[in-house]
Amino acid sequence: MAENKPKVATACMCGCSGCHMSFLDVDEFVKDLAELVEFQSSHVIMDVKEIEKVDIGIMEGTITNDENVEVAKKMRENCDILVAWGDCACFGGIMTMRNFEKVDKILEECYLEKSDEESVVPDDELIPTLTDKAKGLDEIIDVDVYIPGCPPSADVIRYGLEKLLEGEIPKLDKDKLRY
Amino acid sequence: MNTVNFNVDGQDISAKKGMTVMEACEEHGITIPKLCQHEALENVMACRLCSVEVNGKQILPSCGLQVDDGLKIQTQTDHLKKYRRKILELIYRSENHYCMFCESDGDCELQDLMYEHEIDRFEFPRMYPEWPVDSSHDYIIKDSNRCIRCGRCVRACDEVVGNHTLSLGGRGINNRIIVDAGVPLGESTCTSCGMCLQVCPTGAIFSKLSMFKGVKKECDMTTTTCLSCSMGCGTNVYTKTGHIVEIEGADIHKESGGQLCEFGRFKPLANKGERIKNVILREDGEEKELSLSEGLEKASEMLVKSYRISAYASGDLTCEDLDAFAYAMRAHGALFDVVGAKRHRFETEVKRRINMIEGHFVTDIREIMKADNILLYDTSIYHTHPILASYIRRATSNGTKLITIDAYEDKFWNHSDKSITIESPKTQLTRLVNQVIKEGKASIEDLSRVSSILGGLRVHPKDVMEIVNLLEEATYDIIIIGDEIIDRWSLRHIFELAKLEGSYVISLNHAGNQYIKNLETEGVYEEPEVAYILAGDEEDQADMKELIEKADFSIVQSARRSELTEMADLVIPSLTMFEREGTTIDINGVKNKVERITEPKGGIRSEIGFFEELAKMR
Amino acid sequence: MVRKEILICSGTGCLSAGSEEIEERLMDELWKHELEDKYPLTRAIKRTGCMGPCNLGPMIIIRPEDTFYGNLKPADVERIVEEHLLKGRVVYDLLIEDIDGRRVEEFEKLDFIRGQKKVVMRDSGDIDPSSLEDYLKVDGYMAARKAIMDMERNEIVKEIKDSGLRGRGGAGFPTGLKWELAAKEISDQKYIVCNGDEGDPGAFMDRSVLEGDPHSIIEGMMIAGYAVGADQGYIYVRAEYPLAIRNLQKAIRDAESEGYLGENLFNQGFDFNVELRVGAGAFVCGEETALLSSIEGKQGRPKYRPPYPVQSGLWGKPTVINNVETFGNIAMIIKYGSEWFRDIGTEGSPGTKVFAVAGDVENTGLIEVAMGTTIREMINIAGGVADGKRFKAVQIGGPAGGVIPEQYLDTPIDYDSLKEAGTIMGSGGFIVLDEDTCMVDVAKFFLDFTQDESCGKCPPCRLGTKRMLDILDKITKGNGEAKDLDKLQDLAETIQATSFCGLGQASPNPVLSTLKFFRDEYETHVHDKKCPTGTCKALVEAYTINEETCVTCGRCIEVCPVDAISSGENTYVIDPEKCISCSECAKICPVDAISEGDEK
Ligand SMILES: Cc1cc2nc3c(=O)[nH]c(=O)nc-3n(C[C@H](O)[C@H](O)[C@H](O)COP(=O)(O)O)c2cc1C
Ligand code: SF4
Ligand code: SF4
Ligand code: SF4
Ligand code: FES
Repeated sequence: MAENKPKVATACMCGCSGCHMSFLDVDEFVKDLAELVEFQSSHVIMDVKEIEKVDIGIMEGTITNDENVEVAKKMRENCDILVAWGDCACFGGIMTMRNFEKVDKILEECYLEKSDEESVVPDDELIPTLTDKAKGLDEIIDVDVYIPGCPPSADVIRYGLEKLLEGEIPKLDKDKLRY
Repeated sequence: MNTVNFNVDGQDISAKKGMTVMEACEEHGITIPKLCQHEALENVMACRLCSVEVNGKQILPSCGLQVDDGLKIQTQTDHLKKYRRKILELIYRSENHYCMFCESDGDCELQDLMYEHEIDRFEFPRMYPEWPVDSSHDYIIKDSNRCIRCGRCVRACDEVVGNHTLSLGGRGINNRIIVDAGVPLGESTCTSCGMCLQVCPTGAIFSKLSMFKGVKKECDMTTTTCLSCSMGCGTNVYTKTGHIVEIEGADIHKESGGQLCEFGRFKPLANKGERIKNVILREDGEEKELSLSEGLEKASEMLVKSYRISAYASGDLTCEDLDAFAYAMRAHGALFDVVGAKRHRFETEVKRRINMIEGHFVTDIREIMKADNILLYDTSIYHTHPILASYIRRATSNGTKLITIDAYEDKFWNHSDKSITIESPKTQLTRLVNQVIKEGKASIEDLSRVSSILGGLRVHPKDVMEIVNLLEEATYDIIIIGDEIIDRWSLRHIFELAKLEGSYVISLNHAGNQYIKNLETEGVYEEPEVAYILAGDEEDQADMKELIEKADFSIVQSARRSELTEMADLVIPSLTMFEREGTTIDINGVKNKVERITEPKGGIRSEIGFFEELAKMR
Repeated sequence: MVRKEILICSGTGCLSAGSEEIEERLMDELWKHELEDKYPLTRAIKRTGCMGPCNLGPMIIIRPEDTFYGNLKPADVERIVEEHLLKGRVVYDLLIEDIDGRRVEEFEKLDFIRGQKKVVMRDSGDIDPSSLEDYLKVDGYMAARKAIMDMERNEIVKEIKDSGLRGRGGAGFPTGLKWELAAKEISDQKYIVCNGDEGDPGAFMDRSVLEGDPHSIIEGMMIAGYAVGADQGYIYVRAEYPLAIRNLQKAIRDAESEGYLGENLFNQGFDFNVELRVGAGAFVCGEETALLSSIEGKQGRPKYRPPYPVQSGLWGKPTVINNVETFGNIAMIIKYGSEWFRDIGTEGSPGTKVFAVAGDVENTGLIEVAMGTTIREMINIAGGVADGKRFKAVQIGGPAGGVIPEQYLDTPIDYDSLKEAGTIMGSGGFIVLDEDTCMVDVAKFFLDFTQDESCGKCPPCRLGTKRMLDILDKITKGNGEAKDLDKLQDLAETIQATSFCGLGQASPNPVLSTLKFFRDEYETHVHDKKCPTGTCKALVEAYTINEETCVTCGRCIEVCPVDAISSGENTYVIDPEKCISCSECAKICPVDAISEGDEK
């Protein structure tokens, strides 16, 4: 039995980790879940960052820079079912507020216009470059399951996971769906 | 036969002929998705979401389709659902719908439909329209980027308000709401009624005063009556944790359409004056704060020792408040008057003198929309009685002729067929009209005679003839007299004209509560020893100020600090319109309930109790 | 000697080709040879409406011998006058070469004309449209006289019903039935409206009739007015048709002053007046309810039907609205009877249809044929595919129509057969496409038109067509994905089913029909990122010249049809932006220095 447990990985892109927090609100279900699945990596509950082959990949957060793109693609390659958690991953979320202005303009405003004189726009190759627009996951990779909400409630998260473990693709009805 | 029988989703239904399929379905609890249809507005069948399958072949919008015998309607086929989803997604993804940071999140008909159709993913990328957001208006923000082009606002402005400020212009994806000839809303012909934002299904038009204060669905809602003028509009007031979030019109039916005006919808929320929590006494150039009972003491002391007392109340109070105030003041031997009552007294006097019967007075102001001809004296009602003004505009859109007579600029200039500007006394003109009606047209043909009689004649005989002709052509004419006409001569001539022509009359006054017509009022001492003014919400009534200036000692009871309270010797806290409770009488003579919406936040809980006490302290 | 007449085509096409200059030259020449008495200007030189073969303009016909000279240059006029008019000798080398290379003398013998059957275009090109007298000479207003003096109202309706005439505005609704419905309505006021909005890109049938034979339309409307009991008519013409407007204005004025319009016509107590309304030219204003709103002075947006215009049209009164060409048939049916009309055309679609033939054919212009003529025959009338290219498809029906590929070339042109073949008759657009045409591009062209013309009222049309266009754009730019074709299909279905008016409902048709017949072409675009015809710029791999091999002979420069090649230092260079990958340069290069690709 143990070796057949489905493997799960979760990852957070540009987001507040609120969806993961909300997930922790499922309370004792976490315990059940730990029995039922094997967490391969998850930044909230373990230290492993590298994504390996898993059955279910869960992603939170918006794609806003090239690192996010890379992580998303890696997750897609390594999982069978990809779940987008929360409004950010599903549709872009709060980060899309920046989509009404050009990236350069925003950086200038943040780092030059609205800050003290010495400030510069950060420009280091270690810092990931921003994408032209903040994007939902499916603008980059295929997504199988959408659990929107900001954050999705623990009940909705639990429902989604339960369905997945039953081998079904969960679909949120109108009472569970919130943008 | 006036009913037809047909079938919806396998269920046999009968409905009145002339109904739309959508209406009939709603009556039977079958809901069909919709965005452009609105019960107060004409159907334009724009959004296509209500499409249903008819007799197994055609797909037609149910909001436009009339019921008919034998129709077989399907409202929920797989095809229909697919189409609706597609349309919803097209709308959602083509405009900037980011519910997360939208004012309407939670109160949005588009969002509700998105949930209902379980749309959790999108096929089309966002389009990022970049229409400039219009925030030029004092109360309203218009964001075309969230506009779904349902045209409700346009129809509301057109059909309900009769104002035609908004229109839809531009082809294809450039189609959008245009204000007048493309000006910002704040510089337009908009009357600030807010009808557009009440009907807007999305977050494309919203109120600056209500934005981000709360989701209406999660608020408590109380239906009450607006006290600001005598139209007696029903309002739905939404509150959350004791604060007012938004005010909406309550009577959403085809005639008033749930209309409110600036005074009903926005002004009460825009009120910025500081609440008065304590009694303020100004003595020897010093300002002292007193407790309420100390204030009561001081007031009674002043009343008891004075002989000439003038008591003057705002007209925007409940019947009960007015009664209590009148009783207390009479107990102290004061002369008592209410805003607007003077005009009513004049009217009563004139009516008695010329034997004018009550039958001449319109009992339902919506009759305006049925008149052939409207003769309007004093166009300032455009601002003082906006709802009534909207009925006049709507009437003119449907062909009613409008003659306006005003001493100043005609506020109805783009609606009136004949606009006459004449300085007071307007009586000249009306008298001539009456003369022609009585003595025949010949009486005015002799121009020189007429002008010599009147000396400096300011009336053009042509104007007189035009009015006479219009009145004679019409079979149903209504004369509306604005509240600024307060000379008895004018009233007398106008009433005479109504008698001669068999016209109906609507006579307006300043009071919000027409209970003043039942109250005994007598006019006040012009130079009293003590002036006691119950202002309530009222902030700058000229005659209140005048009275304070002339009084030796003035008491002002007001909810907020205002120019009035700054002038007074003694300031006593009062209630706002939303803290009052009781009844009010509207212009049609109907008694409406006034509900307490918020708990009193000023320095007084019950005004009535206060006056009862005061009455006892003789 | 028989009096000669010189007819000079003055339709919009010929005017822009320079017919006025030819006319001036002609007058100069006649003056020079002192022929002004023999050929007085007002008698012998006649400005006519469109003669049909528009790409042969400027053109003249000399009567009575019916000699036709086309593609005239001002210099040719002198010879025509000296040779033909003075010496009676045909100027052989100015005659038009027909398809087989033979020079044809007589207009009627032109292949282009022989295959046609002229009913609606009967007078256009034959009479002076600005002359009521001319119209009367060809029995003008005789049909109206007959109808009003000798026929009962219901007889007229019956005659039109029996004729089987169907509306030429696009939908093909039986005209007789429409009139019958309007006649039955009881009302103090009814109206007749002529729809001359003609918005299809490239269509000019209605314009030509209005320009070339305005009285025939007035006559048709008058008969309709009498039949249904209407005394007021409106002709709605788009503002882009100034000549039609001028000719109509004159026709209305003349008819009024000569008693063919006004009160008590033919002393039968029947009044009829016509007013001209000029529209701003939005495509959707051609839709009948939008057009009526526009006449009423409101915004031209479609309204919900029912009520149909025959019940509640202009200002809420029963209104018959018909297309220009529909009205153009009426006088002929009344004159010759419904039997005669039924003999032309097919059982289900009697009569003729005028097409504006355009695209890759030898002769473009107006062609009126009997219904039932096959598409192949039509193309032959137009002289076949131009430049000996292979036929690929024909687009019929304008933005609401579709394409018909080679295997359907023998489809007869009538309402039902075209529908079966997946397109519609439409108002008469007929665009022949040769092998070099990219079908995705064709679909994009029409969709671009409709999405731009959408009035914006309903989301499926306003946004759906925009999304379809975006997808096509993506495909032609080489970013197409497999699921895009399904998305197109899905969107198309929703738009068709749920759009408010005909514009929206029909807008996906060009995409659907190209997708149906040329799916492989779409797939090549999507999967192989190639445009087989080289039309889609982004997908074309430009040709390049190998610097080492090039001997700078310069032959490639000469053959390049788009001037993409310029001379560099010791080689020639192809501008990849301009190159359309036609391969002409590669073919001609003597040293094989040019090849496809390498650089994009
Ligand atoms: C988008 C749209 C555009 C149309 N444009 C024209 C037009 O330009 N000319 C025309 O005669 N009919 C046009 N029609 C058809 C008219 O609505 C109407 O059917 C026609 O004028 C009726 O005349 P008929 O019965 O003689 O064809 C259009 C229809 C649609 C939906
Ligand atoms: S208008 Fe409605 S659907 Fe659009 S963003 Fe706002 S809440 Fe969401
Ligand atoms: S602003 Fe609102 S009411 Fe007006 S058309 Fe747009 S969505 Fe409809
Ligand atoms: S289908 Fe298009 S043109 Fe017709 S009403 Fe809808 S948006 Fe307007
Ligand atoms: S509700 Fe019927 S079309 Fe919009």
